[in-house]
Amino acid sequence: MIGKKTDQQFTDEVKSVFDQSIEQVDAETVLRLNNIRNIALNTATGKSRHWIFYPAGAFAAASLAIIIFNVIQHDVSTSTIKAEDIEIISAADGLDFYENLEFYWWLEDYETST
Amino acid sequence: MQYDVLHTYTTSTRERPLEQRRELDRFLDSVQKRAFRMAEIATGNREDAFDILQDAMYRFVEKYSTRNFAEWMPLFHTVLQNRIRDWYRRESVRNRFRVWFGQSADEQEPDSMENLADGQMRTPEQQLQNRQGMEVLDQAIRKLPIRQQQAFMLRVFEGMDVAQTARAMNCTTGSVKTHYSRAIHTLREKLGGH
Repeated sequence: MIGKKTDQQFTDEVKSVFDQSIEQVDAETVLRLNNIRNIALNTATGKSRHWIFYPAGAFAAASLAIIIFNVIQHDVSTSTIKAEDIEIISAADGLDFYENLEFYWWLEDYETST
Repeated sequence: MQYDVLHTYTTSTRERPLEQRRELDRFLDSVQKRAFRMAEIATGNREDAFDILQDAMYRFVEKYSTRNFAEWMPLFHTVLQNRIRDWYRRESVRNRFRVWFGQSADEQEPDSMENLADGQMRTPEQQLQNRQGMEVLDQAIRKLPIRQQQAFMLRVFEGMDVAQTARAMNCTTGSVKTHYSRAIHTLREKLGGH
């Protein structure tokens, strides 16, 4: 316990000397400290003000995403139609077959029912 | 204690830029002298201490200003201690270059602490009570390994507990206890605190 008390006394003395040195910091040093504090605050907070632009950026990103989504959707439906067209054009049957398609469906139904 | 007084400020500073800036200014104003002295003790160079402190303040404001006020003190000291550690790394590289060019690092800085202590014919207690005592203490702390310095200064000068010191130093509480104990032992040997 004696050792512990002595340690405490020692650190108390050391802290007291340190605290005295803080009180003795000269005016010039304080001026410089105030100056660097202001520089740090102005520079860092100025940089961090970029958050103001975050909503605008988010809106722009969302708009872009919607536009891209619509374009892709449009392309998909267009490409489906194109696939059907290609199937008709490339079919071995003549175009007359497709023009009378309803007639052939009726014929098929008629033959099945009779 | 200064640390306790600082805890009485408001808790959250988010969404209040002007008030937040004022609080940051107050906080940095309250810690700047002590932080500067700690950097000065660690480096032994006023200009380097100013540079370290400005960098620490800038990084603290940039990264942690929106955090809860209760976290500011340990976070600020984490940033400050990291800056001091970076300075030590750079210095050790410079010292290696000095050695390569045939100039010992010890030749650069004579051990003025030993000379001062022996030449004054005072007890360590008397030395601690005056300005020269601070110079002796500065040099004794500066000669400690960096981690011991940090543990000692944060625990004794800033009054941080083991957990807060561990957080500021980015290490375990066990490491803090070890570093602190070794620092006390070495300083008492050098300063005659027995």
